[in-house]
Amino acid sequence: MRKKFEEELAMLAFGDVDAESARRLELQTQADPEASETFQTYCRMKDELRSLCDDVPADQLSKERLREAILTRGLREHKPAPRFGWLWMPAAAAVLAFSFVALKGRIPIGAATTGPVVLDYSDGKMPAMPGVGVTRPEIGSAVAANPIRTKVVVEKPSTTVAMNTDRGQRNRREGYVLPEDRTSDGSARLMSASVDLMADAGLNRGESHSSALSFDSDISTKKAIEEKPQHAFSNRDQMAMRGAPAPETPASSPKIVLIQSETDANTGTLRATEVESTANVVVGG
Amino acid sequence: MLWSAASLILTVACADLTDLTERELRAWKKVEPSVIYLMDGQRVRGSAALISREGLFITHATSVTGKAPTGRKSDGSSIKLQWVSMDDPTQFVLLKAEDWSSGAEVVSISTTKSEREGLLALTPTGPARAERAKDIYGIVNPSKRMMPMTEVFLENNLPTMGGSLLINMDGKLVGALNAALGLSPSQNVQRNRSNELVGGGTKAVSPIVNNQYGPGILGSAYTIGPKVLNRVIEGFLSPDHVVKHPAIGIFCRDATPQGALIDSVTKGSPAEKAGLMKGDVITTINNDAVRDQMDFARLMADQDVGDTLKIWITRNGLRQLVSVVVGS
Repeated sequence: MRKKFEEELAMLAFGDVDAESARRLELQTQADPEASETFQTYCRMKDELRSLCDDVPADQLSKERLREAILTRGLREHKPAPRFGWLWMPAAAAVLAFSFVALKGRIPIGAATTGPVVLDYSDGKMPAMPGVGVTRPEIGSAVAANPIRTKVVVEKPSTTVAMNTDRGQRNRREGYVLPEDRTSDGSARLMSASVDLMADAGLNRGESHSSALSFDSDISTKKAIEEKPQHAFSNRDQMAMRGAPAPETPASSPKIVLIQSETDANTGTLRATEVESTANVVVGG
Repeated sequence: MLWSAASLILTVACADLTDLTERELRAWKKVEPSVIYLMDGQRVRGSAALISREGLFITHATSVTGKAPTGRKSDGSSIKLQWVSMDDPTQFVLLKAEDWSSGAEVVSISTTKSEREGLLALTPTGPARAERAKDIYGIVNPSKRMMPMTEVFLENNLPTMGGSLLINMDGKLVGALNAALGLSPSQNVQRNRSNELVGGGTKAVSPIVNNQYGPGILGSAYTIGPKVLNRVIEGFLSPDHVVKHPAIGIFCRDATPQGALIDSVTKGSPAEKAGLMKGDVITTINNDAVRDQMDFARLMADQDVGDTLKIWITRNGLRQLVSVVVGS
């Protein structure tokens, strides 16, 4: 067999010839048994080489592919984009919202520009507010010109009972504007339940400032207010309003005994029961 | 009759007086001539203390059986008694002895309020050691009046200790056992002085007794305060033998956020005459702040009949000042 014919058979087996040459070579191979055997040998060789290619790892880079990649994308490392990268945004928003709410209740009086403010300057005797850093006239004019209304609730006087829902509970910070009661210059008199802020400002430490903490809702009976005892809301009561425990007094033992009408069989006396709370107990007198 | 006297003498004589200290014995001997035992058939039911040389005795309602009880002195002699009056809030009863001719001194009333004071409870089985614990307030049903009371610890939980008179170490009357805390089943176990189980309790309960020290079992009882006791005795010694506790005739409950909310007004009472109405909230009484109904009751307990109260109330959002004369 001629060497050229053998090379043509090898190219046919590997598919490297055109269609006309392939038909011609196939006809020649069918007529020559030796050529047919040689063609089959080259076909088996091709199949064996193909099976060798299957054993090469898929991620193995050839020099050409590596070169092409370097020239195209450079040597910089490219990480795949995170699948859930958008999750940090709502999480961060939640943290910010929580921090805002948590810090809001702890803003000191000096910085509480948006919080409720206790002002009762109708008598013109509002003292300077330590901690705020401004004096009464400045406060008065500021409120008259630009009253702080962020948390001031307009209510009827009779609804001031909601100022302090329960002893021992946290006080509300809402204030109350009493539209019926206005000073001569037309500015509204603010009566507030924000005892917390007043306390922080040191305004309710003494009896002399008790007028600034007037919780009386009866504005129409001005005379009655004026006749109100000066110590009707003493420090002890103010502390109780703020939720702080009132100082223990000999006349206010927290322990109460309920004495029933029936006789206890074990002791022969009326049955007694100690109670800690008397909220629902009706007493006569 | 003879058997009754003998049982009394035996009861008193067999009482473990030897358990008492010398000081306690002196106190008991000092007050003994002024004390009679109230009988219920053949057994002692309670004791009564002489408060007037005319034969007026004070005792507690639980110590009396019927309107004509029989009493006996410590020597066994019999006394016929008549029920005169009773003070409902305190359950004290005034008895009058028929043909009383004794040189016994009337008992003195203690006015001290020292804590940890040693006391003796004159139980039907003899004097029992007790101790003043502390002053508290009690709401007495069904009158719902709040009374200043004294908590008393005593080493006795016999079923018949109700109404036992209390004396201090000076032989002065302190009060009577008006009420007692209910004992738990384990506390109801009774033991003798050898710490053997003698009665009470249930077998299912562990025989371990809580709060036990000394020869007896610790019990908590209550007696009215000295001020109220004096008021009761003054009332009993008055011509009409009626005790007058200060009241204006209202019932209160807690108001929101503070104050005493009038729940009801008794018809014809001083409060109704003064114009107080249901729904009014009392905020101040005589310049004292009223934070809740307990403040109201405490302030009322400190008043005297005939006093005039300046009461600030809130009605429909308006504050009003009302003057009320304290009645009874």
